[in-house]
Amino acid sequence: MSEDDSGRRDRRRAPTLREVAERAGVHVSTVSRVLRETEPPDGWSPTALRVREVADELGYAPNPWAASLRTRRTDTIGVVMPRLTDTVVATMFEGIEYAATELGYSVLLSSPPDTVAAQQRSIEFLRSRQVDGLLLTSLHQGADEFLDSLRLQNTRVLLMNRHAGSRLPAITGDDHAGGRLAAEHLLALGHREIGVIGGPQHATTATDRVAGFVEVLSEVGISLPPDRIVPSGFEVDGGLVGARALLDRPDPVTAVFAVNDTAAIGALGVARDLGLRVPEDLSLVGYNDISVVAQLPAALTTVRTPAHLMGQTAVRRLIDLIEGKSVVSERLPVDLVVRASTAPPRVVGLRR
Amino acid sequence: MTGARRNPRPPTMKEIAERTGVHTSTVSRVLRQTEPVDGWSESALRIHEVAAELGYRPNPWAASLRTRRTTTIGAVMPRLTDGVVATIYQGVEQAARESGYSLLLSSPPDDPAEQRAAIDLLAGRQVDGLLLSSLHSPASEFVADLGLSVPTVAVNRHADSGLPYAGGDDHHGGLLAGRHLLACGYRKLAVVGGPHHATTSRDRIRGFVDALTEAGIALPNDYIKHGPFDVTGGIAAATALFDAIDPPDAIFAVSDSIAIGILGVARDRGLAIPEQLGVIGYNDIPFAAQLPVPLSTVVTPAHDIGAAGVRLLLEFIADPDTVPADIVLPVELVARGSTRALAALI
Repeated sequence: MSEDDSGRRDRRRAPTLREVAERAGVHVSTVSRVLRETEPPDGWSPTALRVREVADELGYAPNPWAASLRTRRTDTIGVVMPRLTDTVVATMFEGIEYAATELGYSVLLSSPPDTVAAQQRSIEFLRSRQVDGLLLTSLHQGADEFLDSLRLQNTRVLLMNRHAGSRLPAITGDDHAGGRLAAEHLLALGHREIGVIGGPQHATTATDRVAGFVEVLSEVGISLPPDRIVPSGFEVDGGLVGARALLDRPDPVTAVFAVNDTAAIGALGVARDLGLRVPEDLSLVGYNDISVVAQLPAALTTVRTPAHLMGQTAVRRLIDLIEGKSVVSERLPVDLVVRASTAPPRVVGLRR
Repeated sequence: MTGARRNPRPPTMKEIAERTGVHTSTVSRVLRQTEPVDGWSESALRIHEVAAELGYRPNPWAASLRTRRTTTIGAVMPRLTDGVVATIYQGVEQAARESGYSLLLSSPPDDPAEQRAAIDLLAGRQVDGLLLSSLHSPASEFVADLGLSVPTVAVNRHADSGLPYAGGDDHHGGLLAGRHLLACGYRKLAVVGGPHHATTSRDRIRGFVDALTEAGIALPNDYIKHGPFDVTGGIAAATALFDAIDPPDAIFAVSDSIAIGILGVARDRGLAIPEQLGVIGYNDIPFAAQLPVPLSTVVTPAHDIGAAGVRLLLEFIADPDTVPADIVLPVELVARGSTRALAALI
């Protein structure tokens, strides 16, 4: 291989575990173990810290042979995309594959569980397959510390869907504006007793939607008590749990905003079981406009996100990064789709 | 290329084998495995120690150059926006990971030419085997034309491909749906299928027709509709069925998404579910149970189908001369509010 003969390789190649071990004065198996581990709950030991410092200094990358070949493009991008079973997420993937194919790139997808550790395994696997860049759709809030710990210096990374509070560029929907649209709609209908099925705290899609929603309410002097904003999962089960907390009580709300359609469908099940009619007894707003929600008996009012466009845009920007151009974050516009699941509250102001 | 590489470099499996006094294939197997539930054997422990000592790190590309194995499998799976397909995919990914294999996925449009391009792409990346989820029936000629050089299995749709296959028992699922609608007292039955090329749909319809035949009921051709597997397919088919001179009193949809499209049209026509129209779907997606009138359906083990596909493929990779037996997983019916309570037996 020409890299071996050119002499460039020695300067450019990443160090082996053995070199890290020699410099740190520990056994090579210790280096191997430390660099594979995630941080223990009680923190790194002094030895582990030294090993990691030396590895950083030498520019260690998990796969030395892959690293030596890194200057060679593979025209492949890696995508780490949890929650693929949600139509909106899979639609983003279709957009990714569509744009990548058009631009001559192949896509490698990993769809791990939506946990930090599982996403880390996926990122490391895709890097070992020598992708030119990574699209990460679902990092958790406060992602910079996590990203720093991965030592991704040689890999181009773009975030999408969730910006995760990171300094890295991200292509997202305008979740804050979407939350505002939902709140303005419910206020205009006359709702004042409102609850939010808020999604997971680690997902900035969810927290931005809630923040936009709450902001509009506070602008008209309504402050939502904490028990009116229920954290939840994004799945149907999350909607079930969240809606029970908001509706199965003596003073149920007259309107619910769920931060995604899937959770909203869970809320529909709870309303049905409690004998609440939609929209007569309960107005419901979802988020994403997945294809099934227009077919519900009371077609769901929701906020439409440009999922396919988001995937396409993210691929174009990632390729810009790979080609050395600079990229800034973009928030794609969203719009409200008013359907039959929202109506004025039945007895305004009567509830005490 | 080995001669050109300088020390220090990671050891080869052969060097680990020499140092531990076992065969290279043993080293390869042990280093690929995850720890067995009853712990490592002594010789496996020794191999791990030596490997760590010598600074061994797995490198799939290098491995492929030595043994032509990459411990990577490829999956070609169109239609990931269907939650059922995505669930199968997650079953594939999890099973592959648990077996120490990596997975490369391509999700092209559901069209033979696009699938062919995707298969070529993955085959070019030296995968050890391929999983194909959406072949179009009859696929035997298509498969022969591919000239596949690696073990390949069909998952979800067998597509009359002749490939080893893992899927759900679609015929039995259709049979259960038909018997259920009859037991509820419906008599003017219709079925809304997927595309003609999808054997999942075809086998479900055949099972359904068999249930009607058992009861001495014939299914007229214009009560059998075909279209896409999604809500739009249900909307188009239901519109045609309700516009007919003698509309059905119950519909079997071969997917829940189709069923939800049918429910939307029924809503627009003011049809009461389940009194004026019974609807039964297929798959039991998470939405089905939460609908205002919860959907009766046939539960398919989508995650397990994916895992079974991987099991089948790894068997085939381990022994390419023996074609492994198909895996057909059982399905079951869940009766909910979208079909009438069972008619009293007289």
